[in-house]
Amino acid sequence: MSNGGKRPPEDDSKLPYYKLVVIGDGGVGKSSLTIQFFQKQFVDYYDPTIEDQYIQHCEIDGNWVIMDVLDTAGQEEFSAMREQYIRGGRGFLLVFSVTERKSFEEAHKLYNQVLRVKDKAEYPVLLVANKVDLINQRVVSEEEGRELAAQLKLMYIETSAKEPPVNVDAAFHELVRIVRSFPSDEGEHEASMASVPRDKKRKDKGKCSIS
Amino acid sequence: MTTRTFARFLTSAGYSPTAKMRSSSIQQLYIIMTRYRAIDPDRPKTESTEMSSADHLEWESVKEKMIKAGTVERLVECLVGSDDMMDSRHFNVFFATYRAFTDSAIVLDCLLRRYEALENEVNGSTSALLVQNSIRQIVMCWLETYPEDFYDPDKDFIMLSSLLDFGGRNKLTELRAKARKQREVFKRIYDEGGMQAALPSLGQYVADMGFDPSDYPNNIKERVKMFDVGKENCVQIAEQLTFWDAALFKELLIHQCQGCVWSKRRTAGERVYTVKATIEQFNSVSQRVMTSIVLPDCRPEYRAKIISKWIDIARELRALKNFSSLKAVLSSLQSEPVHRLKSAWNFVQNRSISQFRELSSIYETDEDGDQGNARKILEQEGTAKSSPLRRPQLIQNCRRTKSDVNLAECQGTVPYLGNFLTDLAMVDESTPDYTPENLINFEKRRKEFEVLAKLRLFQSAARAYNIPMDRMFCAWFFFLPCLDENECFNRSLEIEKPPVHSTPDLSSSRLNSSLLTNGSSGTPPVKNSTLSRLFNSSRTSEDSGSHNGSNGHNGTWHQHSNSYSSSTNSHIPSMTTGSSLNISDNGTAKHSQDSGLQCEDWIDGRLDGGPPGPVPLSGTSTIPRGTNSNSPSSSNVSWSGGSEFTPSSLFPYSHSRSKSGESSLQEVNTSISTRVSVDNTSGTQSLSRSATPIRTRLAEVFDSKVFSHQKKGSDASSCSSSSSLSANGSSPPQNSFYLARVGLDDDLQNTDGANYKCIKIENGDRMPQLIARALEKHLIDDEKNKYLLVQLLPRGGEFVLPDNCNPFYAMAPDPTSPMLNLMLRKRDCNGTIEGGVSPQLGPSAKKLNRMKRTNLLRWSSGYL
Repeated sequence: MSNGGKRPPEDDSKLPYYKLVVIGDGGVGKSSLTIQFFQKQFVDYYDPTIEDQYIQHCEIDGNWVIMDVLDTAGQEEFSAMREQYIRGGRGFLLVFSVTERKSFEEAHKLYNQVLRVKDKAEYPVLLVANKVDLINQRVVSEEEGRELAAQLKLMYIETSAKEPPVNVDAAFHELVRIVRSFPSDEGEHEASMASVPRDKKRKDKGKCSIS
Repeated sequence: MTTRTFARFLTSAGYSPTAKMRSSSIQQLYIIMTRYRAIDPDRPKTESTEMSSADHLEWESVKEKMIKAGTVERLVECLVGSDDMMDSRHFNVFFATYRAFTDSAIVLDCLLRRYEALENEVNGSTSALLVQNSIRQIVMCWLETYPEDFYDPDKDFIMLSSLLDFGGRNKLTELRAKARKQREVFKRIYDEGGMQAALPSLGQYVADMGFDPSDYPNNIKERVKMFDVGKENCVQIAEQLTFWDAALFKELLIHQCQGCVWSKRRTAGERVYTVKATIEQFNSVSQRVMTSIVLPDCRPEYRAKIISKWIDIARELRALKNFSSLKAVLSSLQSEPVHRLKSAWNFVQNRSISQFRELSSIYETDEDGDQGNARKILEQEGTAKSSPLRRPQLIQNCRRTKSDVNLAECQGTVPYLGNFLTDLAMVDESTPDYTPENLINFEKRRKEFEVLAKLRLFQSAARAYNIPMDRMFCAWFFFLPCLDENECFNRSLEIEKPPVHSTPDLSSSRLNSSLLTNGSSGTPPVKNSTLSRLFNSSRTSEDSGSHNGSNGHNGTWHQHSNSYSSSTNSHIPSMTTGSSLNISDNGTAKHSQDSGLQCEDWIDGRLDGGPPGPVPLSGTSTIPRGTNSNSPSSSNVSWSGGSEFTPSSLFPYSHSRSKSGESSLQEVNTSISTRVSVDNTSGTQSLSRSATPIRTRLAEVFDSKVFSHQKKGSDASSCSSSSSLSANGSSPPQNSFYLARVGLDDDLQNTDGANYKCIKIENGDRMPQLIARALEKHLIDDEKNKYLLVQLLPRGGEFVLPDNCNPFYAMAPDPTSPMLNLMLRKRDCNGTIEGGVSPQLGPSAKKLNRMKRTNLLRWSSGYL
């Protein structure tokens, strides 16, 4: 894989590690955002069935970080799984499609679910209005999107994963900034039941990023 | 990965002169529309040089021609390889994926046209004959492998017709026969409701069962069997869940998982029905797990037992390599409504917790994105015939009947489908459908096929299970209450207030002896203490119960809570109030310290492998307790236990399916209270459960002595008043009945051996009429007052129904059986009934119970 011009530090085990989760109703283009974000890193060979490839080193505001993105596109119908995924995330891209009002409404619900699972009044979430390239099919206006974001006290971004991509990298990077500015709740997670896998994550940080 | 490998193969093949020649000729042949991965002569010799020089003959025979892209026609054409034979690898990839870029009719048309073109063209040429033969073979294989492509919802089956015509024109009898046969199959499927209806469906199955009046009561509502921590049926539950998961997974049409198909599920739902069916099953498992944990009104210790039991079941699922239900159970345990119940988790034993962690770690991949543990496990074990895990419960202390297969020997796999769907969605997203030349990007399909082929492999692994379906399980599972996520969450909030978590305070709840009376007073509880939480939760559960109940199976639940509220309105005593919900152990929470401890012991005993031997099916998790009738506290326990159970223990009996709507709680309560049973000291849990409340009632009904509970005079009297009320038939709703099998006592048996007849017992029936009806059914022409009816109780006890009772209310619950079991007996010469209860096993009871047991499947003999 190529990492563009700048290379991440050799020893990446000390890099901040961000577990990000892409959530949103089915068909809003989560997978295309995720793929678009990662694919440019794997110009010649990209295999989305290999999970390693959802981990990426990024330089954001001069600092290298490791982003580990979980996108469970295709699994929206497994309702019980959602909370499990949410529990693992430190930050969320909350995606809706501007061409589908239902997904917009769903975004609101999903955010509540995040808060519920995290047991917090607020959490690092970026509201993403996707498919803005489909101007003719757009049914959720930017004003509405921003209004919802304001109501939920979230940042808002409009994206398109179609070539040429609009704001895709920006969305992921912005989310890292939001997470970074949010007080860490790591300790609480450790204490929680299903933090089971978290311990392991620590251990594996190095391994994840070898590639 | 594979692509790289192929590329390497090509390189090595390229060094063999023969291969080079051949592949270039192939390129020539197809180069116009179809391109193969070119051999790159500039490519430096790689590490495979040595291999290729060592055995290049082998490489030559591999003869990779990778189709990168092409038009539909060319892709179809390539199904016949360059050697004029069917290219089975291309066949597999093509037929697994072609729906993404064309449709069946076009493909069939291409094939048949080519065949007939050859017919006209070179008559007799060997090559043409070979190609024709290959085409025939391709069509046969296609029909065999993907028959659903030939189905069409309009019953025309045009493709089959054209295939038949084609077969006729070209005298392909075998093909014709196959097509004809398939058409018959489709016609049948069509008549039975189409492909979707042909899928196995637990719900449908249960619904169908309900229409068999000879074996099952037609009211499905009575078949609710609750999740009972006291039962050692983890293995059976896991097996039966696996049966259904495997059944659905085997029917999965893998091409419906293809990214481009699945992503259109919103708009073209009918194209993905097999995927949806597996997901529905997944969700119905997880909802029931969640509901079974958050619904009961109970102390945290008891809830912890429910959680532990699900962990045990998860372990069995793991051993069975059913990763689908395993994930459903685990994710429910990790779902917010359950996960946040710290008070309950605190009581889950460390052993269970570590087991839970271990099981969850299988799916760490989903949490952390590191190399997929689950994938590895799947790959390692997916198709192996055995699981590396021991199944301790199976080996050590699990009672298994002879009908159980030994699953440790041979078993299959059911993967969690979600990961595959995600992979496929991602593959679909990451690769363009068309090349810049506007050809179909077949590389993409090959990538998809890698994932689909794994699914295929697992499907064949899933066939390795050898689990017989258990009918009683289906009903049990189907009628487990099933609340949706939000309802579960609200319920969870009632159990444990969000911000302030008070540690569970057992002693206060145990010591507070005024619980019951508090409850009955109906004052709004303060939510802070564990104690009041209990009440609060019972109260709110009632509320949530009545809000919910929107859909399908919830109906049961809904009705139940409705009726429950009606019963509260009519001032049924508090114990019943507490019992609103099916899962009943709130009794545990309510009784005195003494009995609480007893209960604990009992449960522990069971969990640690209590007495083996079949435990009668008991509707619910009643409070298990030792039979200790001298202790007032124990009767207190059992009373509340019994009433908590009321709804659920009722469901095994027949209420009318539809109309009992508003009905039943009143009659439920009262019928329980008037119910008289027998029991015995057999110590069998479920019996003592149902028997205990009954004994209490017995005291009341027969000895007309109000039972001497501590601190409950008022409750008791209100009970009796309510029971007498309904016994008089003044208030209870109508429309309800039980079905009962009526057998004949030994001395009445004829040799012809008609063993039982079904009768309906309606609310308002009187004994003489009932006996008359039973006699009539059995064609016994005799005076009705010479006979009496005896109810056969689960463990072989008998209850002689008193002459002047209302049989509808008097019948004892029999959770082991979908119908009540009665026996017609001749009265003693003096015509008296001695006390109504005979604690010993009557000889006839033995016989009939034997009969009953053989009639019912093993489930009823005690697993659930």
